Amino acid sequence: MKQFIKILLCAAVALCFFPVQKAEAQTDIDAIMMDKKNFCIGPMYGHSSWKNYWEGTLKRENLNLGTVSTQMFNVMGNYGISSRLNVLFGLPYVKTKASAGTLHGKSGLQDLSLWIKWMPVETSLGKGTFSVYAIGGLSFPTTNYVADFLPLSIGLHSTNFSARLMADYQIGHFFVTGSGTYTYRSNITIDRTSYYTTEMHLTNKVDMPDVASFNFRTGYRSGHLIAEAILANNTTLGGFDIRRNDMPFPSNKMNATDVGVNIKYTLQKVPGLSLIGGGNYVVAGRNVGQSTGYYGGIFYVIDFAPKKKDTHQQSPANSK
Amino acid sequence: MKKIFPIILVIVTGVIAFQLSCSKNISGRTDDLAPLQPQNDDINAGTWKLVLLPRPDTFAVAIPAATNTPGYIADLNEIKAYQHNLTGDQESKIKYWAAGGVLRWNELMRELVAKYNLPPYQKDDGTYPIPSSANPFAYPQFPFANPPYAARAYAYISAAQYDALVACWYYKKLYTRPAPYKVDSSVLAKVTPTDLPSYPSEAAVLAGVTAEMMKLLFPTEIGNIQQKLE
Repeated sequence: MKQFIKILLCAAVALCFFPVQKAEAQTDIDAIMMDKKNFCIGPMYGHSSWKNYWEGTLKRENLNLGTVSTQMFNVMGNYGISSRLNVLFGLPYVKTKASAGTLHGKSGLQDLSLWIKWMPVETSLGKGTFSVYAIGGLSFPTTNYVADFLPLSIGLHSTNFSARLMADYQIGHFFVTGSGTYTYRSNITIDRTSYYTTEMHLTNKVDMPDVASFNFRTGYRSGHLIAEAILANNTTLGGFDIRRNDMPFPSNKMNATDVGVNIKYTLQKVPGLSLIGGGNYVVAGRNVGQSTGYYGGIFYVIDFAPKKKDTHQQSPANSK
Repeated sequence: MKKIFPIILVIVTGVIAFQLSCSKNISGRTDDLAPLQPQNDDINAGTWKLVLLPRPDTFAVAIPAATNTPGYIADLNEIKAYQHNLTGDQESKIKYWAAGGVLRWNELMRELVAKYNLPPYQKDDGTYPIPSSANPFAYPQFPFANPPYAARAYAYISAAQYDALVACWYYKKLYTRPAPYKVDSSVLAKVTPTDLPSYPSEAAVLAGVTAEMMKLLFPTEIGNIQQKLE
């Protein structure tokens, strides 16, 4: 279950269902822009696992799964077309495993995510700085992995379009960021000619309900250190509950609320090099696993601008 | 910056256009089947070998009233009145069943099997509860339609359908009652017209026998099955 969460996460960086993917700095979900012609890239590793999951609204364990864990090796990048317009990408390799039972884990390259992040508004407001972001995302599967093998499939295999509106306010080193995202998910094709949801479907196509998500983060942000707490919610707009003792299915109603922390530290001695780390925990869910995740990564900023500038990710507040 | 706006606009427009252009509606592969076109009326099928029944006339079917009696003519008029007032929903139901009763009832069976193919959840002491036909509504619901149960269920139903249809054909040939649309040309044939005698109705026979078998095999679904029957 969690896996599907993870999967989901993976599936849509935008969605950020996956704890691992959601929390890094300088992503599609934070209020940080790269400067013009700066390219930030780096690997990330994330791990998450769950023992309990929600079967519909009923929380349970499953002795035929034990603990389900997901590892993610992700390469992410962020390029500044201008200081107000960035493009981002992410491509994870995902590996799943169940500690008990007969189901084998799966692994493979998952979905490529592409984002365009635009900051149309950045203005002084009171003692702080207020900024607004519009973010559009596209993700699609890069391999023909199996989606209909939850909770051990590595993704849901849908092509997703996301639209996000985000606002950020910073006073001194304190900031708050809030965002809402709508994700459209395409139908998927599974390796079965019929399946049962709440009724029989004599087709191999599955209608994937769209997803709404909200993300709220607050904490300390300066040029060299970001430390933030995160509250995130994902709600599937439609879908159905897992029946008693049934397997999960890609078009389940997967909802999750999770809390997390994220830290990003930029080394002062090596300009452009930063370390990130964090973790998160699902506090409430439906048809998902109650996962605990942690992640870490190293990012480096390459400056393609003719004149060397000092920054890499700048917060909106100190970029002006 | 200014150069970027058109690019964004194009991307956003493209995304929206894409979404509008690809409908998420999914249809099943048998949703729009054309009406069944029988190649052969098998008018002598009443003599075929039976599986369960000792004789094709084990169940007596009353002699139909003659086509010139007032009662029959009233029935024809009733049909015509119904045909005048068919709703779109009723028309689509007719089209659905015209694809073949055996096919549609088999699909309904497959749905029931899929719905009940769930293993029971274990009890606190680690043992597994067994579905009880005496108390089918209690968890775990009866039946657990695992492959052996499903295979038997399909076999029982298929054998019962076969015998019922052989008996039906036996009486069709015995009474050779023409279909209403043969007697009165103002009655529309809503499914593929054939020369097959219409009494007793093969669709009604099939529905009756299948629904009764389904109720035995899936007792918790009696309500839904009755609904399909009606």
